[in-house]
Amino acid sequence: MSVENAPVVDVDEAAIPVEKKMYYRFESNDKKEFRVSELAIQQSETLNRLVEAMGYTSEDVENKPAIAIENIDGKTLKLVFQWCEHHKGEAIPVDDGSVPKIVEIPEFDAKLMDIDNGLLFKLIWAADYLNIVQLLNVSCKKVANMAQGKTPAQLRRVYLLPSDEEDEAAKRAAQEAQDPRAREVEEEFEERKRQGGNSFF
Amino acid sequence: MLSLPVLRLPHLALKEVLKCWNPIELFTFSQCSRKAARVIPLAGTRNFHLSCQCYRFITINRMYMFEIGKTRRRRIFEMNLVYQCHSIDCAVEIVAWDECISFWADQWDGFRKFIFYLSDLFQCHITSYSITSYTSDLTVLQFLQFGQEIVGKQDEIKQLSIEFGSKNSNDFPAFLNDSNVLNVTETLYLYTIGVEASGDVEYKFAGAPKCFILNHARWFTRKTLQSLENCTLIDLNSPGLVHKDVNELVNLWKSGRFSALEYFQIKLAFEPGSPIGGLINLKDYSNRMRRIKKIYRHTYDVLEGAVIQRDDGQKADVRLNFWEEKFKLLVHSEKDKFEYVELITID
Repeated sequence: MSVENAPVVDVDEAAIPVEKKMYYRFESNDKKEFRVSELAIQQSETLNRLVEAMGYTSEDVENKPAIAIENIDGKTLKLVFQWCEHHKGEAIPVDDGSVPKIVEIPEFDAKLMDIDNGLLFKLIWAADYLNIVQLLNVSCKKVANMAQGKTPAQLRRVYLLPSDEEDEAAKRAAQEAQDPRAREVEEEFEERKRQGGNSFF
Repeated sequence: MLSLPVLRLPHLALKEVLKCWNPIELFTFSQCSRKAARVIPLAGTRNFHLSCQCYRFITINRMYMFEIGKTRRRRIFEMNLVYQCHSIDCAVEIVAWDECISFWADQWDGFRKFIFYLSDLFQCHITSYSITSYTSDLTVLQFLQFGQEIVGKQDEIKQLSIEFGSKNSNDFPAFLNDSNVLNVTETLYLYTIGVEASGDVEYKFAGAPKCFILNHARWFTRKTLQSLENCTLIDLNSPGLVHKDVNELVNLWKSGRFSALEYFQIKLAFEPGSPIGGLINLKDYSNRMRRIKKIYRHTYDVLEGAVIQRDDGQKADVRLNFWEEKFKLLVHSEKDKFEYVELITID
C-alpha cells in the first residue's frame, strides 16, 4: 500500500514542538500503513527504542520502507496510534503500589475502548507487546470493571473461565487423546504420587 | 466476542487486571475455579496485612472486612450479591464495597477455616490477632490453640492484643505461661483490668516482643519489668509499680541495661520531689523542641524534656508530668523528628 493511501492518524500539529516534527511510518500485519509523530511514539517503550536504534533521518522515514509490526493487525494498531497521538507528551505513569490500584479512565480512552471484547483483547495484547504503560493500565481497568456486581458463576461467563469440573474433563479428554502407553505411565506416576512415593523409578 | 478470556491475557496484563481489584473482589474472583484462585498472588497480595478480632472479624489492610456470621436464610438486603463458596463450603454476602459476610453453623470453626483459606489464597501472613473479654466467649485455651495453629504455619505473629476482663481473668496465669509459644515479635497489647495482683505470684515474660503495651495491670511488678529488658518500647498504664521502681529502671538504663530501649512511658502516682535517675528536675521548659519517635506503627513524643545521659554517652529526654501522672523517657536517635512548640505565656 502506498503512503498516499495509508490511513493517517489525526495529529494535533500545535501540540508538537517544531524540532520533534518527524513522522514515522509503520505497517501492520495486514499491510495497513500509519504515520505517527515522534512524540506519540514515546508512549511506547518498544517503538521508541526501535526508532532510536534505527537512527532514521526525515528523508529515511519517507524513502525507506515502513517499519513492520508483524503481530498486530491494522484495526488494533489504528486504536493504539490514536491513543498515542492523543496522549503524546504525557508522562509515563509509575505504579505507586496502592491496593487496589487507582486507575481513572479518561473520556477519550473510554470512547476509544467502546469496542467489542475481541478487539479489546487484541488492544491489550498490543499495549503489552509495545509496552505502552498507560494504555495497558486503562484497558486492564476496563477489563477489571467488568467484574462489578457479579457472582463467581457470572464471572466465569464474562471471563470465559472453565469451572474446575470443566477443567478436569478437558484434562481427561487430552489424556484420552494421548498415546495409550504414555497415559498408562502417567496414571502410574500419579498413583505413586498419591501413595507418597519419592521416586518413580 | 461477548466474553473476554482473562486468563489468556499476557502475564503483565493479567497482573494489572488483578491489581485493580480490592481484596473482596479478588476473593470473589478466586471462587470461579482453582485456576482463577492460583493467579490471585499476582496482585501483590503477599504484602496484605491480615488481622482478626476475636472470631468475628477478619480485616485486610485495616480496611476490607470479612465478617464471620451465623447461618441465616435470608439476605440482609435484597440488592446484595450472594453466592455459595464451594472452596470453603459457606454462603457469602457482599454487603458493601469493603465488607462481606460469610455464614457458618459454627462461627469458631468457620472463622478458622476462613482465615487460613484467606492466608493461603493471598499467600500473606496473619499479622495481628486480638480478643476482648467483652465481645467474645472464646476461652483462653481456644485462643492459645488457635495462636499455635498460626505460629505452626508462619512461625510468628507480629501483633497480639488480648484483654482479660472479669469473665476470663482466671485464665491469665495460663496465658502468661504459654504466651511465649505464640512468638509475638512486634507488639503485645495487654489489657488486664480484671486481673488482680497476687502477692505470691510473680509474672515474667519468657519471650517478650519488641513493643509491650499494657493497660491496668496491678499484677505487674518490678520482676515483670525486668523480664522486658530486651524491649524497644514499653508503655505501661497503671501497673503495680511505684516511684522507686521507675527510678531503678532509669538507673539500670544509665548503667547500660535495657540497651534496646528506645521509649519508655509509665502512668502512676509519683512522689513529689523524689528524684528519678539522679534528676530532681524532670522537665526543662526551655526545651521547646518536641522530639518525636516512631517505633513500628507507634508514634511517641516528648516536649520540654530534660536530658539524661547513660554511662556510655547515650542521651535521652526524660519528662515527668506530675499532674498527668506520666513519666516518659525517649532515647535520642538520628531518626527522631523535631517540631518547635512555642511557649505560651499568660499575662
